[in-house]
Amino acid sequence: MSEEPIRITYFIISFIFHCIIAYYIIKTARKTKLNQLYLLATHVFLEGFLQIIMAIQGPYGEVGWFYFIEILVLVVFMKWGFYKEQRSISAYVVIVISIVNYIIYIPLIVLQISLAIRRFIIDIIMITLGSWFLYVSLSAYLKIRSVKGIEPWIKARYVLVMIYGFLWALSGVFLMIPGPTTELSPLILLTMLLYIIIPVTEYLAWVMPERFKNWLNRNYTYEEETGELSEEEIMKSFGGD
Amino acid sequence: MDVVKFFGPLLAEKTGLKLTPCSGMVRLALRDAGKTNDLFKMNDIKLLINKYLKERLERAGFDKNEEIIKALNLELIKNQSLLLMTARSQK
Repeated sequence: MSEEPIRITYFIISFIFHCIIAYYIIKTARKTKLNQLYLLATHVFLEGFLQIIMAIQGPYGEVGWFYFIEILVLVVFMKWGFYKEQRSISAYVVIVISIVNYIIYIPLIVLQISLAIRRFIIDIIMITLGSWFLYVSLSAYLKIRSVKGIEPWIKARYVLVMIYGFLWALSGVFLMIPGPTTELSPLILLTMLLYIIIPVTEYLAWVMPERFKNWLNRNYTYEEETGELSEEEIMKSFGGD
Repeated sequence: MDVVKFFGPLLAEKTGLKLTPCSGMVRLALRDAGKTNDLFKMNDIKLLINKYLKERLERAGFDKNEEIIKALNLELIKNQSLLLMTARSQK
């Protein structure tokens, strides 16, 4: 069997899967009115759309610039979601790296300069962003890890985002290893496998299906109340009359 | 974000009081604000802490309420990713 239909089928399924994730994220955004989630949905949709582009043009086609839009959307989402009220040097560093790479990348496409250089730039971005993701989610996770009022599924979500970041960086490392990009080499297959695991991680993290959530929470008990208190009793506890 | 589960234990930690009255205090503030436990907007939570909870602490005559409110605000900023990470389309 020719490898082309396998590749195209894979990319189309991946696109549909990304659309499903984006749909659920939009549903959450509408419910919670968290506007930054629209950015995440845009990122996931673009990630899926890139699968179609890759199916047609290969992983480093002429529309590689499209990739940068997806990345910038994601960086802004992370900055907004994790550091809106805080200064974050790392966020600005990642934004600057992304923009600088984008500025370098565009002329490379226009002038049809070496595919290897273009590939290198994309890989650098993937490794930088993936590592940053890992760092951001790990730092946030460490702050809430021991808070008893936070349910395990929420903590697991941080871990899933960490895994997502790690896999992204890892796929960048894989793609940096020299080898053919047009045929199904073991390295390409490994990278494709990562591209299957990455959206699954995204699905589990952002959609968080009910059964998965319940499974994560299976041993969770929150011993909050030892009995109901009246308003008067509560106020008295704080020194009131 | 379940503000009772998040701020209840924090209030208990900062005031040295038991968890039950502290969670109850956050619930009273929520009732005053006309909101439910799950809040996702930073401004809604800030309003809850800086207005309704503060007023409740003042009415109760609690000594260190300025200090407590400041500490809760800091914790909110530090853990702001929780607003995002607790959001789900299903209940």
